[in-house]
Amino acid sequence: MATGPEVETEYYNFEALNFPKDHPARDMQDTYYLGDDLLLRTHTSPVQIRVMESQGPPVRVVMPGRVYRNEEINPRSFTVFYQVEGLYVDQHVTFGDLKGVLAAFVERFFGPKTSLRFRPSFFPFTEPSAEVDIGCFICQGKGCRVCKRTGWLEILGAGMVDPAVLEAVNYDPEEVSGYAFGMGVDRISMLRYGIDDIRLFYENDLRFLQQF
Amino acid sequence: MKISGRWLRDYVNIDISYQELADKFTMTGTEISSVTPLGSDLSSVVVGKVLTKVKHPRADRLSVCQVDAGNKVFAVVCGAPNVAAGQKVPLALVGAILPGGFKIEAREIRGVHSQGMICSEKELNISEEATGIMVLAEDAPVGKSLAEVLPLEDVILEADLTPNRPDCLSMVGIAREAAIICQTTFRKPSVSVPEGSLAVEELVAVHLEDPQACPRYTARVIKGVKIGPSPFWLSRRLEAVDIRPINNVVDVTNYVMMELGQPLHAFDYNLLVGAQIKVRRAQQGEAFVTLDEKEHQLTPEVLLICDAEKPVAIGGIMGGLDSEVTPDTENILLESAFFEPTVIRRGSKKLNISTESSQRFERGTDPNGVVLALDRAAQLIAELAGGEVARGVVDQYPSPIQPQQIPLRVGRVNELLGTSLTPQEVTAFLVGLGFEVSEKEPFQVKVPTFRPDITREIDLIEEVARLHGYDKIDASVRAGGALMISHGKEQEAMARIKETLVSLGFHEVVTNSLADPNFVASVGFSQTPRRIKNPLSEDLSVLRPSLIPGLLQVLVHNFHRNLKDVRIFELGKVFHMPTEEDPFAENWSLCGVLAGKRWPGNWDRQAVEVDYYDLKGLMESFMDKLSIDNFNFLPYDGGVFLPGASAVLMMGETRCGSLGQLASEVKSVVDLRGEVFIFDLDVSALLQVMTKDHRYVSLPKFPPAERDLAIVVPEEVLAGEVERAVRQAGGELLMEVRLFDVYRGKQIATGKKGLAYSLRYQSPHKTLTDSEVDKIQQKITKTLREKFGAVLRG
Repeated sequence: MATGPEVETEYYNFEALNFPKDHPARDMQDTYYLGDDLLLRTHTSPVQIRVMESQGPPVRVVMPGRVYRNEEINPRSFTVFYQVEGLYVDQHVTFGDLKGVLAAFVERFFGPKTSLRFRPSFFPFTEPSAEVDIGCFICQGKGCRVCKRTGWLEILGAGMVDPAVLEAVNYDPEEVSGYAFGMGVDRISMLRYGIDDIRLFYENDLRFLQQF
Repeated sequence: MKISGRWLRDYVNIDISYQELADKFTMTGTEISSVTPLGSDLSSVVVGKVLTKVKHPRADRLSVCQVDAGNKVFAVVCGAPNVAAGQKVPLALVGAILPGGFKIEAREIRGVHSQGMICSEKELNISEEATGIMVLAEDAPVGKSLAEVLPLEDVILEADLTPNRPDCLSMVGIAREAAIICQTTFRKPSVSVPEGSLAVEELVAVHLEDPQACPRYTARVIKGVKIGPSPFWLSRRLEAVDIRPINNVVDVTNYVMMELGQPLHAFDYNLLVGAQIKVRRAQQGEAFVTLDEKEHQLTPEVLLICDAEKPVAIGGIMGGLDSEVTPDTENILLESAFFEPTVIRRGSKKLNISTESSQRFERGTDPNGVVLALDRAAQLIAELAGGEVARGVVDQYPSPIQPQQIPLRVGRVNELLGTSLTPQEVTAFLVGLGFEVSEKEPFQVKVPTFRPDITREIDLIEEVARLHGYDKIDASVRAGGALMISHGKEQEAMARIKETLVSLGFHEVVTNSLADPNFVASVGFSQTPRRIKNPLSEDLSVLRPSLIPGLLQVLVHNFHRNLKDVRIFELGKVFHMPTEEDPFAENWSLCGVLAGKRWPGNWDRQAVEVDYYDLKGLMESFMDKLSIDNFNFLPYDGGVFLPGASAVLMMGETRCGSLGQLASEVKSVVDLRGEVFIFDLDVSALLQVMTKDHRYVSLPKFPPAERDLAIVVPEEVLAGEVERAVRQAGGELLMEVRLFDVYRGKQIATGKKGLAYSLRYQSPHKTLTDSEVDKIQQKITKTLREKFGAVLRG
């Protein structure tokens, strides 16, 4: 397990993770800035860079922490939340391995009968990238309010570590490959416990806290 | 982006349902978040002709119309101001059910019988237009079903596009994807421009001052157009994808942008001075009014389109007010250009303007699709607004951008994905995307310029993966040994801290790290906190300097809900002003709050309010459970605490926090009744002790010697100070000091107090003799006498 600072630099939060300057990909994450180069990290992914800079491959690590987004506060999004992400870099790591580890996680966390799908997506620091959905356990995939009638709930983002990220930490993408995945702890907890308003976590009503 | 199913079918045959198509899109990376039918179920809405219109006898705002529905004439009461005799209108007959479930019935409206309803566009779910009824074309056949007359029925797919796919920001781009995933063919729109005899070079010259920012600029001129409203099919398509129709020329530019992904701009040619277009950077401070009537002060980051004298548009972002197409425009200059994405991105950020156009340019348009879009727009304008298209295209493209050649190893594809795809399969996916693949391996893949996201082998591998289908890649379970199992001692220590506090009856809370500077200052943190440059709002504009304000807010929240017995803590980051050595300037902090009752009252014991000694006792238990023993409390009279009921917690010589009763000034700010007790610790000091390796100390082999020590000291001497002095004087043989009695009363003089300690001595090497112990006791007594004026009690 590894952690990193909540105040981060542009380099760790964006550049080393293959978000070029002046690229629309940066709009995916509304950022709080403290100075020209300092910001509140928008994800826990900078810790990937910090870990890989501190050691050579192989790397297998999970990274939890608090992250910040300059987004409107509503029942589904809060300006502060938690993420946890995983990173595995070694020789011959494949996309199939990523599917395997996440299938195991979903089975343990949501139950053995939970269905799971991977669909293509885009994150600057992974390629190929995937979003992972589980079958909605509230309506058993029939379609309900929680899953917005799709029958699926998005639970995490993942992908193969982009070669540009490996190069940024002086790993050779021809020698090693890896996968990374990350999820919102708040969101996963909301789904698992049926909590419909993220603000409850930060309001700390004793009657809420006593339930856990 | 919204995709119109009807529009999409111009370019691709779709023989599956829209829902199936949406699922296929989602599973190949174009996420469709909703599928919504538009204008469906309009059976029983027909084209009617308003024969007569008279005012309703008993209502000023209503009129009574006789409407011919083909085989019958109906009397219909209508409230719209724009209804008039002679109009063709959509008439909902009795029995019709409108979108949204409204059922049309024959009814009396203020004494007049009404048989049907003349509908607005909104009532038919055609658009948001609700100010009046919809007026149909003059030649609409009376009595025909509306669905047969108008291209109404449509299905809108809402796509959540990722920023790497600018090519999908158009119907043609989406159609290309649809063709691959449905394994059918894709048709580009056929374009042919009816050109006149006048040569465009006679009418305009283009000069690029900064060809890096604008690598290509093309233009056509069309003379003698007639500006007017667009035909229904065109405005309908634009509205379906959320673009407001304006006039035929502007609508065509928007239509072609949505169709081909190439933003276009139409200028009023007569308002351009000097028959020339110049593309240059803005000067610092140059002013410009965009067509939304806003004035901007520009900087050189912004690219301008100018005529011979003045700027006429902000390149790629928005046109100018002074050259826009108006109802009086006769001649137009049509622009189709390619701009460097980062230039548009910086300009758009700088000016804080984001348009359909800038969004496409900053993601990357196709430099080699520029002329096709220009021709397509010229063709449509000539069709819809008349006029003569000047012969030829002005095309400034000094260094043409070539398609990239990217090598691809099939072995690498399979190695990274965990698949066993054949070279033929890989080739088929890429060819389907419009890429050219060389015959022999290792493949050379030629990627068309409409896919600027593809520059490396890995980008090609991703394309293969998504088209093959992630679901078809087998999950593998990798047997892996422990590679990085060090949990981190600090992580473990923090987990122990949390568990310990929970075991002491505390709830863990998390509060926002972003705080309200006024609140923070009002509860006693007067130092300027660290500000965020772009806060969401003033009350979330600083980083918390302490956990105390946040916890007080939690306390207040619960007090207001009559939840008054509170034991909470937070372990989180606090922030201070950065320095050269520490630009991050954040620390872990641990803070807890105690308020309300020690225990709830019941039949065998009364409820008791918590006090300072509960707090101190809890702190002692906490340290004890963490096996920290070299701590003590020193008096403290600062911060947010009440002097006399507060302490500094020392670990050895290090200050590691404070605790105490909340000062009443602070309490009154947050309007709390009852006392509040707080501890506020610096976690790094705790971690330092907790992460030290713990060594076993061998068990004593020799028996201890016990002695008591009873002294009288002045009242103001603190017991804690005495104990420290005893320990110091006692040296390493003194193992334990325990205060077992404090006495004030008869035998003691006023202003003094009696303290009684029990002391335990022990040596690891031998049994201590009485005289050895006595010697130490005497040394202690002497120290206490000199330090505190302590007198032994007989």
